[in-house]
Amino acid sequence: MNESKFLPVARRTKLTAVVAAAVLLSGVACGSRTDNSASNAQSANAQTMSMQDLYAQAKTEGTVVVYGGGSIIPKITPVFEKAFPGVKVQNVDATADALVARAVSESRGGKTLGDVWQSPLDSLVEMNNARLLLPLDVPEGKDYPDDLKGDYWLASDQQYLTIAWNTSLIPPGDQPPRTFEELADPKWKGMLVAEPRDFQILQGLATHKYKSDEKAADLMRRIAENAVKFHKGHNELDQLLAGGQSAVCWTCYSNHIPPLEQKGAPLGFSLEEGVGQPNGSAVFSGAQHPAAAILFVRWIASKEGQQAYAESGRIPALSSVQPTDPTRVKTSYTLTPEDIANSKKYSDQWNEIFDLQ
Amino acid sequence: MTTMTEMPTEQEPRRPQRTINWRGYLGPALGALLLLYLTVFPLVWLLVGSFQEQTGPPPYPWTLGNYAAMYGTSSVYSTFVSSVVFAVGSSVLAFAIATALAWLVERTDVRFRKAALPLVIAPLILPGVMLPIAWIFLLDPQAGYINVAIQSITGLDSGPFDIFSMPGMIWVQAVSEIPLAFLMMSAGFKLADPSLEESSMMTGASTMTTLRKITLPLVRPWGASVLLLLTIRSIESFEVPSIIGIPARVKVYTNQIYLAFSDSPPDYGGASALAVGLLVLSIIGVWVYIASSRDTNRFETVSGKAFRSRQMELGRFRWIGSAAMAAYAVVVVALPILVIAWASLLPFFARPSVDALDLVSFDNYRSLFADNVVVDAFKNSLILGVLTATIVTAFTATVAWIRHRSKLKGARWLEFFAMVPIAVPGLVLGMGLIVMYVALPLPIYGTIWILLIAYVAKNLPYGMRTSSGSITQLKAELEEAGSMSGGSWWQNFTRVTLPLLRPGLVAGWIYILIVSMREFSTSILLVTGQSNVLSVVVFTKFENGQVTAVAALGILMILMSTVVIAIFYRVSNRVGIRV
Repeated sequence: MNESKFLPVARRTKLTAVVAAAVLLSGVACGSRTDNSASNAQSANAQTMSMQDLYAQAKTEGTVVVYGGGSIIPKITPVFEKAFPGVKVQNVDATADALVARAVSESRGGKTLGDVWQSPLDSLVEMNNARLLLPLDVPEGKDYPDDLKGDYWLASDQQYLTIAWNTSLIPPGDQPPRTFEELADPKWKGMLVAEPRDFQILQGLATHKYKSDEKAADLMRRIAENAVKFHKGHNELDQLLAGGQSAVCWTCYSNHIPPLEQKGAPLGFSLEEGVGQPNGSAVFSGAQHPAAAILFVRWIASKEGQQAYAESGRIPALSSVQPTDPTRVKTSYTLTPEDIANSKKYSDQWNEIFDLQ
Repeated sequence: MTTMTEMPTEQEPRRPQRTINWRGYLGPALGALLLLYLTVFPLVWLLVGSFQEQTGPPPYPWTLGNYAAMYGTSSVYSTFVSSVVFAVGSSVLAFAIATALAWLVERTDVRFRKAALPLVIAPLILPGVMLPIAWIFLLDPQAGYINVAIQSITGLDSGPFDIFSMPGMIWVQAVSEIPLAFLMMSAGFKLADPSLEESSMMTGASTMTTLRKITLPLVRPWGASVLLLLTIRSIESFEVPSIIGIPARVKVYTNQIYLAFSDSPPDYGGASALAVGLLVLSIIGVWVYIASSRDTNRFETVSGKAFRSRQMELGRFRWIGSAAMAAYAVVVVALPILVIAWASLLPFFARPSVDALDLVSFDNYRSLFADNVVVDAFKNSLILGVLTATIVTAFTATVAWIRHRSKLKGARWLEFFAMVPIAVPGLVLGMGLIVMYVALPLPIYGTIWILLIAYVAKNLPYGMRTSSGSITQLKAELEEAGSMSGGSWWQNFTRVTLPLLRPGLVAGWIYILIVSMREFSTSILLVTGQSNVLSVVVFTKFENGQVTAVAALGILMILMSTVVIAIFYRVSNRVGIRV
């Protein structure tokens, strides 16, 4: 019967397919690693060159591929390209975890496609742990304090988590809470919202304000008694606040509020204290456009670059450049790479206090 | 003289011999191979990753620790229970409402039938993040618009509805799933020959009795297929558990997976171990479905006899049916879309009030039209959507044929493999694809082609369910007639089988088109500035604080899709395609 001739063929083909898939998988999983030494030597050299020479070299490369930036890159790109015609900026962006996953996977696949990495400090630390970044030491770094730079990164701007509120929902006669301590007051019960991943608040207060884990944890427990409601996403929190669905947000970015206020939202926010981490730039090990990468990073760190950040609504890392709206907090508890390395116990404690996992 | 001791051996009644040329089976064989290529790789990637300690840089040591950590705690069982309650609750609710609507539209003379399809599908077209947010603005216990309206009438302090609860989650998930279920169940009713119902009515049974004893049982295997799909989709859904589940403090599986990814350091191995659990649940579901649909011959109604769907008269119940449809249109479709339309005219999600009217403008729409990024991304999404829908539909139809018509042992396993992608988290699939394609000298990575590969892989389960479900309604006699007349496999397949499956395949095609245009979790890993897609542009705008611009984009997408679907139906009626 013809059908019996067909069966073995089909079985064999299926088996071949599975074996081929397995071979392919094992083959690519041990993908050949491209040699990064030439590119990295170039990057090292570029770090101390004059900007003129650096620009000349970057022009021959023609492009710089920036991973990350969280919506700032499209805003500063026109300024950069005007200052350095001939060097085009390409941006690849995603959520922080997706971007790290992408960079890690590309490296596993054997290729480096990014030149510059721009992200909050915690993702910078993860990229460094994955051994994907280069040592960085540029002349522009001397204007930055020690807590805003490191072996492989240089801060570009600051973001502070602070307290914001809808002015029409604060009970008449009451003052809105301006410090984290005030959030524990029972009068705010049922009125507080926060982001479930912002355990940095706990860590920042423990490490830099109280210098005591127990005191910070105790404050969090008292706040938890006010039945905090958690919503994922800082932008969603902003909209819920602006739309009157929530009254007080204590994990809102200070620089998000003025644009909404200017559009007519009835919002207010506190500049008393805030927990923050810097956003920073780094260079990929084995970048395909090393000179352009260093040029971009050094420009961001320069006064002109910092000015571009200010005009795009960010808080510049360089203290001599002011943001366009007053969004720098008076007292900031800024996390450092050492803090990031230590973050697991705080995220576990935060999840436990607020019953989040 | 011949004795009767040697009886001539009776010939077994022979089935008509097909002209079997193994080359003619190249189509199905290739189809099966492609299926395995697209699904075996993510499966192996997922399984291998779950046994690796992936929190540091490679090389990754082997470990059982992921399973111990993820499944060893007591909280995992409450998570499991919540996931099942959420999945079953939302899928049963969506299925019940969708089936009622589909029956009213396809089988009765209820009013508003023609407007049903675009109306029901509209919410499906919105960017995934918008619908849950719209419902928050409607049903927040303190400030939701519906609650506030009820409070002002009745004098209550809060509520009566609280969206931040398990029932609230079930409601929003069901509401987002009804469009799919409606598409599928409409196709199911179209495929069922009404002559059985007509006989029932002729012997004096009422409409309701006919519905209970003939119509519903007739679409049972198709319906079971749809219910399975809905349940698995709810288990692996991400948006509602995230946007509503987190404030509601309801913990489900997909949240845990997300938390593993965004942990510090990210725990890819742990996420994979959790996803394997999802896979097991999905496979159990498919197994139950396959076991319960063994005896499907009874449900084959598409036979050699021609039939035309006929509307049953509802008589004095017509106004109830029409009122139900109108209520659905207002509560489920119009209200959230109105919330989003309102937001699209504002700079932020301001509460409706006389003061807010000062803020109204078309700025959001103006900025969208001027934005090249949006226009390019829209073009890419549309091309990818059409290609994905066509490839998946054509290809799963061939595989369904192998599964149900060929005598191949182990063809049943194709059904399982086709379901694999539904349980592989988008990020995991994306990471696997990156590793596999980034170093290939072919221009796939960094272009829309890698997105096409990802989308085809992800949509296989849906295509498989519609193709498989459609083919079980088909009597084999039609195809046998075709091959008896001398047709080759290919001729038979394209000129007999496919046209008969049309209603089911069209439903699947439309659904895959829309779902591909919304796909986000894998796209986010694979897009570049030159190959961007709409869902990622939506996300970027959202992250940029331009939330109401996203609302405007959602409204534009609904308007455009309604026009496209209306044109599609007008054209297909002209050309005589019964859809």
